[in-house]
Amino acid sequence: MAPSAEAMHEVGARFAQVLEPGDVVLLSGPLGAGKTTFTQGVARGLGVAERVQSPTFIVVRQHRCANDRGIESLHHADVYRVGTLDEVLDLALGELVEERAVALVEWGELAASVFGRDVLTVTFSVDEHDQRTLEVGGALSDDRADALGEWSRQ
Amino acid sequence: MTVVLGIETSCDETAAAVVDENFHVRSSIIESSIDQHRAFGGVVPELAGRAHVTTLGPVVARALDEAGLDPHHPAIDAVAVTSGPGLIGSLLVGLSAAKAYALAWGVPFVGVNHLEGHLFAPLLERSDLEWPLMTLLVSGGHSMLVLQSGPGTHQVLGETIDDAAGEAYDKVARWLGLGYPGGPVIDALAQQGDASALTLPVSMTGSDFNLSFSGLKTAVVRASARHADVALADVAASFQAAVAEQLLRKLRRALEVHEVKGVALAGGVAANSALRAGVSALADEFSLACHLPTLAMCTDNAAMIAAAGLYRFQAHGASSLELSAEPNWQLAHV
Repeated sequence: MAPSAEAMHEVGARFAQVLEPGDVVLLSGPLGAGKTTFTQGVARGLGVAERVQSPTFIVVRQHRCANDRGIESLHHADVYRVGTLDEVLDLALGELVEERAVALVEWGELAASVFGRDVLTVTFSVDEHDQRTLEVGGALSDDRADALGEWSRQ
Repeated sequence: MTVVLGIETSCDETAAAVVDENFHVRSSIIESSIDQHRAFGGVVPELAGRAHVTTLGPVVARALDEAGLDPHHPAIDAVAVTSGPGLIGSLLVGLSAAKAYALAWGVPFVGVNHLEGHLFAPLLERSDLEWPLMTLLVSGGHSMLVLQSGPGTHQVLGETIDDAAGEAYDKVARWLGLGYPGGPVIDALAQQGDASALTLPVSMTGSDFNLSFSGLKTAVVRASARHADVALADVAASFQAAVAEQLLRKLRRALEVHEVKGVALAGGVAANSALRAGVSALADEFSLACHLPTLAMCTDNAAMIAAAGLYRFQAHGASSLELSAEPNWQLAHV
């Protein structure tokens, strides 16, 4: 895809449509690949009204959602600066999402072991022509895989 | 005379200060754990929290002592503390300590918004402040344009829609291998560089007052990867010029739309030389008083928290001891 914020917002907003309460999504990719921009799109897709700024400074930001799919809040985290895996555990993102919420974790690959198997992963890459590629993975039920397949074809 | 003890632990500075009702700073102590964070390329939340725990007691004692007060039974009228925004673990250290001091000394306790603290900084350095004031508040966690009609009365005209300006400095510096914090090192390098070396996109050209630094950060990373032959100093100079250009363009527009008596710069990025020169030039052009903070006042400090706490206490009274930390406390919600 082309390197525009609008395009990344659109992709994120459509990705939001396959999310379910309890999902933890680990976002990985180099600096400037579009992780925060993608999350802004997801937030839009989940009906977050407020501005979604980078969570780097305070590590986790919470946003209230308005949608008809039972997802009431979005936890947006950046674990880049977190020193140890224990600290990622302290953030208790897995528990935060149990109640009608989803979590998107930037630099999530650094902490993947903390989250276990039940996560979705979105891996961002940038080629020499500045084109972005998003790769989605993780433990998926057939239904989810179908929905994501649908998403990726759009 | 009302005297307030201020405490600040929202990020990596542990600070305490004593300020009186004339906004006279009687003492201001700042201890930074920045050396501990340097190895990690940024503030490490857990490290910051632990550093505050060990540093805060001695810092408060020194602030009281330097203000000529008895550290055990100080003659103060309130304890003010940053209760947000910031890192939750760090905020809680200061907040819990402030409540304990207030209870032990039998004085009121006041929770202060860190950003409002920055807005009070000019009052501590200038006695001739005239309102309204247009403030550009830029730091590692925030970037916003604030119109102040008086102390404690503020309107956020616009703010970053993604990264803070200081955050972009830190991320670009880390990517270039320049270490942490990014601001001073890029600023110093930029002095020797050619700002026209890289062509960077101009962000946020709309007529609103919002800011954006995420795209610029990405553009610098991509452009310097593509042009590996461009000197580091030239990359730094190009990036710095683009940051200042965006901030100054928005500030200029704000000054065209809103009639004010003065313009102020606040927050950690207020130490940036390009920004200081640009704001100063804009103030001259619009014939406005210009308030550039001293470097000590750019840094997170407790004197500004005591000052904001003094105002909050006099105007609105004490906070409840049940007040909790708010990591995401927006200035607009103060």
